[in-house]
Amino acid sequence: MVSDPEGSRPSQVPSDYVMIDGKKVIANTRSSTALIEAGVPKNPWYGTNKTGIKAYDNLTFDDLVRQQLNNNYGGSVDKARK
Amino acid sequence: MIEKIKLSNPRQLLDLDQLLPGGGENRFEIFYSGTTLELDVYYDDENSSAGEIKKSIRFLKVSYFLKQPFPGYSFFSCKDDGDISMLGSLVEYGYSDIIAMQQGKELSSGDKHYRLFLHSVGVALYVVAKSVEV
Repeated sequence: MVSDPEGSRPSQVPSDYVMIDGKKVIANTRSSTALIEAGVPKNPWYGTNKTGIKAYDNLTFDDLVRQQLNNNYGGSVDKARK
Repeated sequence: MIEKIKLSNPRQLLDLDQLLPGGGENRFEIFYSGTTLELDVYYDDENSSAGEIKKSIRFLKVSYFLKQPFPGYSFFSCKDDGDISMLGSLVEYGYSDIIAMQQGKELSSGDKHYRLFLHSVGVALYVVAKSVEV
């Protein structure tokens, strides 16, 4: 369920993404899962392109997203893409 | 350039990805008392209406612990953490600069260096302790 304490719209939910195989994939599992479960269309989501950017130590946001894909979407970009 | 604390050879102790639902953990709590650090991870049970359930991880005879933002700046460097298959796991490092610096000091012999990333709440936790109960 999407928390909305200040009346924010779904389009205001930050959902950073990376490009994998030429497609946008949301980088935040919790936000994207909540939006999907709430039935919010993916087009209004917005975010920052984090492709190739270091997230933590030697890990990039791409690595974190690939891990999310493996856990939640069977590694499928199409199931998780923006 | 600032030297980071080096870690290597992580060994998986607990795969949280096998426990957590797609949305990950809801929240966590840390309790430190005496020399025991208890980490409680709360998440929704997808298979029942039980609501939120808890997984406890208990570190015993703790020497050090550090909580960092994840993603964020890390004081540690571990090339082996690039193996994304263990990014959702509690691991024990086969090598740690902290453990190496303690070698030969009686009070801290036998310590192990543990690490856990909580992806949804955005926390990295490092613990140096004698053992862990999962």
